[in-house]
Amino acid sequence: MQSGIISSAVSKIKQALKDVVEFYFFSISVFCRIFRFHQLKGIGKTVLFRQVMFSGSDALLPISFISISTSVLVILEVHQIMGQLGKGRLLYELLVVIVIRQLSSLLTALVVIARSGTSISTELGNMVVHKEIDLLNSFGISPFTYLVVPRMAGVVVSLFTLTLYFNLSAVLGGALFANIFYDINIGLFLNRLIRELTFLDLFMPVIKSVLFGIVIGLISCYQGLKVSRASTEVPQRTMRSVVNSVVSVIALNVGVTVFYI
Amino acid sequence: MNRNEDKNMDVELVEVSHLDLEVEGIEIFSNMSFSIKKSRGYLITGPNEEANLVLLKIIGGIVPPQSVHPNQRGQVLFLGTDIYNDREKEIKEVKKRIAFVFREGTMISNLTIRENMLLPFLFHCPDNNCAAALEKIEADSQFFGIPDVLDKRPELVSYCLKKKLAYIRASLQEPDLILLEKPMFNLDEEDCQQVLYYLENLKKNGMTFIIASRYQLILETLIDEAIVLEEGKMPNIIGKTHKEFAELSRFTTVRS
Repeated sequence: MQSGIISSAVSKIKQALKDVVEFYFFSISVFCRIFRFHQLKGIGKTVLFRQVMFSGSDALLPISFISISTSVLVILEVHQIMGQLGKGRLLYELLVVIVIRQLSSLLTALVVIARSGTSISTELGNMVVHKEIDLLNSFGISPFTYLVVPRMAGVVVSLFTLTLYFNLSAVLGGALFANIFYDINIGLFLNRLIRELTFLDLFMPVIKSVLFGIVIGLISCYQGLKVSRASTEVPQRTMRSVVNSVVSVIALNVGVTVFYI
Repeated sequence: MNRNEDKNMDVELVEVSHLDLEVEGIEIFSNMSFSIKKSRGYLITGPNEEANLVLLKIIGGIVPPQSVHPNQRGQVLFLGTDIYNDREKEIKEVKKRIAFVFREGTMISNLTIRENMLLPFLFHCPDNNCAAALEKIEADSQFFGIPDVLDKRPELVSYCLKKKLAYIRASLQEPDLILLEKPMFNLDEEDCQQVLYYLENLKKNGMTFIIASRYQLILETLIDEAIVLEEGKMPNIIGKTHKEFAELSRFTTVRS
């Protein structure tokens, strides 16, 4: 009984290690292909443009809602604790640290995982099942160059832009909320918030969004292309892609924060 | 080398050497070597259909050959270029001259049919004018009686239309070698006749065919030699004598 449990645990660890090694080599192959992307000329640019449009512009509405809600929640909680809003620095410090430095890139990444990550792994998984990857190979077109590189680049560009948009709408939405409900002048709110901002506060979300984009793009494509033949594998791989992406993004968030603080 | 520059029938277009194949643990062939001559039609046949299709994909550069023997590696050479191990630039040149038509007439689902038709053309000849290619697509579509579907997505057209469009796409770059995976799958009798006529014309223009099929009419019209794969036996390559081809009829059916 005990030996059965041990052997099952050992085989699971072995499989996990094998997956990590495979993912490592997959990532290396993708990075090598980045420099060959220009060979695709027009056909590659179309894929990249579509990915940016899908991951970026179509996600603006949920990002607006989440960013304004987060900012409003921080203002409400600070008001609850402090009572007199706008007089101390705490509100602006918390807005900078919680919303701009920590949550902007993290929440944007979660939205991108839910929308783009799942759609990438489902799409690629179905392409494997329907032999579309074989078709590309028969043309001599590398699926890494044609499918993975533009998707990863699209996710990075979208995540970076969406994070900037998240911060902008959180700040403006927060200022408007504070003005309407607590009668704080919008100009004063923005002025005091900007005074609290440091270089690190602006730099950290940028670095994080790029790293998160690379990780989400790579994991989603890897899991999608790992589908072998059956369509029943597609939802399983999509689920793994979501779980792995969320875990990786949160771990990276902690790592980057520890590194810079 | 352009296909039209050399119509010498004795030129060896593809050389396959030391191939091994196991399907679901059963050794189908071991240390298999044969060559494909230019402008001829070859049938891959045998009782194990999966094995026939895998061999077709190995020759087409889609499934890399694997060896069960540690010191020996299977190789597929297309006019001297190893299609799995040479430089990417050389492989790209080779793939430009090989076309593969899948059983389902596979297309990339997130592209329109026009983009699908032009994808290999634009990849291999990005500086070429698409107008000539589109003209050929239009002319061949008229031959097949295909309505104007170029701006539709592949999932909106029938399997039969997709298959015919796949033949047009395969012939667009005038390849030296066309590989056909079950060419009459999803087609009715009338469509089969149309496709056979189309393929016969391509063959007359010097194209080489390797076909995995059980359709008897193909055997009669397009095939010059057959590669017979039987478990536990060395692959048997037979020519087109009446007696030899009568032997093949045990693997073929009227419809496939």
